[in-house]
Amino acid sequence: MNRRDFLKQGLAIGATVALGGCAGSRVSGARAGAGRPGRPLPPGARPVLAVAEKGKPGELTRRALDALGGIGKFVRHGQTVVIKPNLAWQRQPEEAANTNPEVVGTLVKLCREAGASRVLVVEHTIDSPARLVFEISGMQAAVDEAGGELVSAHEERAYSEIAIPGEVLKREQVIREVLTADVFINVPIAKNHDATRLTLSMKNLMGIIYNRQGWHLSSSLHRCIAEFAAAVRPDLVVMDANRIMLTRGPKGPGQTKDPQAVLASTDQVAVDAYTTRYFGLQPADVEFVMLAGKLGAGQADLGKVQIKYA
Amino acid sequence: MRRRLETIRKLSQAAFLLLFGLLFLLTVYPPSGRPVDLFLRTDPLAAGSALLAARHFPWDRLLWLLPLVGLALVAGRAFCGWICPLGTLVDCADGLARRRRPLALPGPRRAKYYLLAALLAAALLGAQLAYLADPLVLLTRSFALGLFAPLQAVARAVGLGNHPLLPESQAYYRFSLLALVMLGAILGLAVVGRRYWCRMLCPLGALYGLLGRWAPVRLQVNDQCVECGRCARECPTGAISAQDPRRYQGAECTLCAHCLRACPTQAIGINLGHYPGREPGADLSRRRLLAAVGVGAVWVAGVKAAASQKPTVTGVRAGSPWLIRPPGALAEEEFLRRCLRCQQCVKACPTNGLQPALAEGGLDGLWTPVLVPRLGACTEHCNLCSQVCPTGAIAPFAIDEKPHLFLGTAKIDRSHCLVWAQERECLVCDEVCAYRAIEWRQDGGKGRPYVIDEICTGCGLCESACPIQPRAAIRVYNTGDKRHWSRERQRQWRLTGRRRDAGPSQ
Repeated sequence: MNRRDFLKQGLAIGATVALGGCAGSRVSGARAGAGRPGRPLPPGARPVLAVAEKGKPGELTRRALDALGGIGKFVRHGQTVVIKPNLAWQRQPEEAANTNPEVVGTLVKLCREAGASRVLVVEHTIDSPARLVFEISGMQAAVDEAGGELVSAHEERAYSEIAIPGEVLKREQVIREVLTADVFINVPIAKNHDATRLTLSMKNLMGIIYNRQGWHLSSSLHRCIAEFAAAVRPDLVVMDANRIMLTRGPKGPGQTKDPQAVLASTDQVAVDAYTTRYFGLQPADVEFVMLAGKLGAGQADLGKVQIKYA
Repeated sequence: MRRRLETIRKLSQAAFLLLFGLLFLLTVYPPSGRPVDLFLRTDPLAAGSALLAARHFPWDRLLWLLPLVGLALVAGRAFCGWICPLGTLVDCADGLARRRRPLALPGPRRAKYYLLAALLAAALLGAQLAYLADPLVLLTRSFALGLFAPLQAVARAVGLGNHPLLPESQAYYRFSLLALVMLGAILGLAVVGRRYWCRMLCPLGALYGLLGRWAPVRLQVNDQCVECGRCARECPTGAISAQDPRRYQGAECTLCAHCLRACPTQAIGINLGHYPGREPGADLSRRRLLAAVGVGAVWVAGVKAAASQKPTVTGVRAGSPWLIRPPGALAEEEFLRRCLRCQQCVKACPTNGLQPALAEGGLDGLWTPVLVPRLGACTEHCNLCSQVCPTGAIAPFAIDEKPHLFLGTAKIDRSHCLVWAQERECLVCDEVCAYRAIEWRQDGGKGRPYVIDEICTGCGLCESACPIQPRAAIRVYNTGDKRHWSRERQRQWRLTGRRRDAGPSQ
């Protein structure tokens, strides 16, 4: 091989690698830019909302899911499941500031039983460091025991940017595991919230973005929540209303009440709309619920929801 | 056996260095109840001068000093040769530098005694200065500030990730470069001579040397000695006389047993009892000793003069309003006497909020722990700093006492605050507050945040979370510091605030 051939070949290989690299980045860029559409809703179908009341948290979780047709409808063998609890605070379970660890533990166990290869429980905690939150909330023990992995997403490198087709939100950095999961389950707790009146499932999605402060600083927090929920729809929502915080939310300590309820649905807006009644409120009392309904994130009109009491 | 003794000594050094490293790594949340401060707790210079300066002699703390004082009484500086982790690192550095012969510098070796004299004089007069030169304090501090964060970076690079002993949440330490430079300087002395720090400067070595004046465990040379002088040349601490190898300075000998192996006729042994060749070794000049005591006294006078400027209201010395001490810290005067600046608490703090003070505490507050809320708050369910403190400068407290341990008070900067200055909606400080110390009052047709002074403990959660950059619009100052109050009085103070705050949230 003479020098000219060597240079030619070298250039050719270099160009191939470079182009391949570009192509690769284009592909991943396209995926990252698309948002996370979730499961398409069958047109015209009435969303089903399962309500399980009076019982222990774990048992209620099972009942609610059974009413939806069982976890097997959502999780198949070998799939990766990402669960997002509300796990922001260094608070103990009885304070009702975080999702009940029993609900999450049961859900992890059900997913494992359905054959999920990995069940990740992810949170971008507000109190830090995350490991203290995980320990004090009892979540670490519950997830470990159920066979899941509890992961903190406090570092920016755990996030990917996606495009949001909203008026206020244009782009958002979202936990990559959520974007790439086969099944994404949102497991919020129902609480009072000083900024948005209540924090429900859609508000809980604020914990999968990197820059929460951006929403606080935006023109409308409610609008951010609704636009984001419309863009990133979970495959399943399991609402923990076993014990709810009535005042001084989101962190408390506040007054609590024990509705002993777990709700489950594929429709996040329906879940949130229904949950308002535990606080003696209407869906219309919580701005982001109505807004999300208008933006197509789900059904805010409970008259158009099929409610199954389990 | 003679040859093997050196191997056993090296194994002992390795074991204690390993133990030191292990205890260092275990100084991490969650609390384990292990005595992670073992090396400092048993150090008669560090812990001893803290007790002396504070005039505080509880039996349990004194008992911890017994083993090493006892060892020195029996075997002189055996600690230096067999246990001291810094001595072991110095040996390693010497090995790398391959400088086989110690330089004959008889003069400066006395320096360590003068240093010791100054430290003890200061302690007697009520100021603890051991933090400046105690080898175990130096090493703990260097590890915590200088090596911990790089160690994490290495661990992550090799795929250990966020190991519980190397938590990512603790990745930044002030003074890290200085801490590394200090350790590097001590180890770098290897190019000057072997065990240079230990021979010339180490005040703990000096103390053990003095305590071992009548130590019965000694080197002995029998009549097989051919006076070849090899032992004197090989001795890492230069303890053996070059003129007469039968004579050696007991206060310099670390019983490292190097000479036993070097001796071609196996004339040297370590035995019990009287040996006329052993000289006490510390031939000090009275004038210089007095001068050293004088230096210690002048330092104390300077410290006391600075302390006399304290304002009476907060119990905290004037100077920086950001001198925020960890919860449980004793009142400032007492705290400074006891705090070894060893950085155990700084290493332990799970939020990385505790940092060594730069100028916040004045000259004698150098390296003392301060809370820097912007880096990390004092988290609600943690009392680890008090558990790892070797001298009780941070007094133990139960988690449920934390709401009434007042470190300072948060103040809202109304010229920065989103709600106050920009008429925007924000509630982050209120949301994160562990104790609900923010209340909202109507002001100009809008709810605005106020801090309830009787409830705010100054933990800094609000400051750490405030979205205003780079300087938070709510900051903790030490004006609310109530360490000089009894805990009961602090509890009562909090109760007055709770009564005011009894109404429901808006």
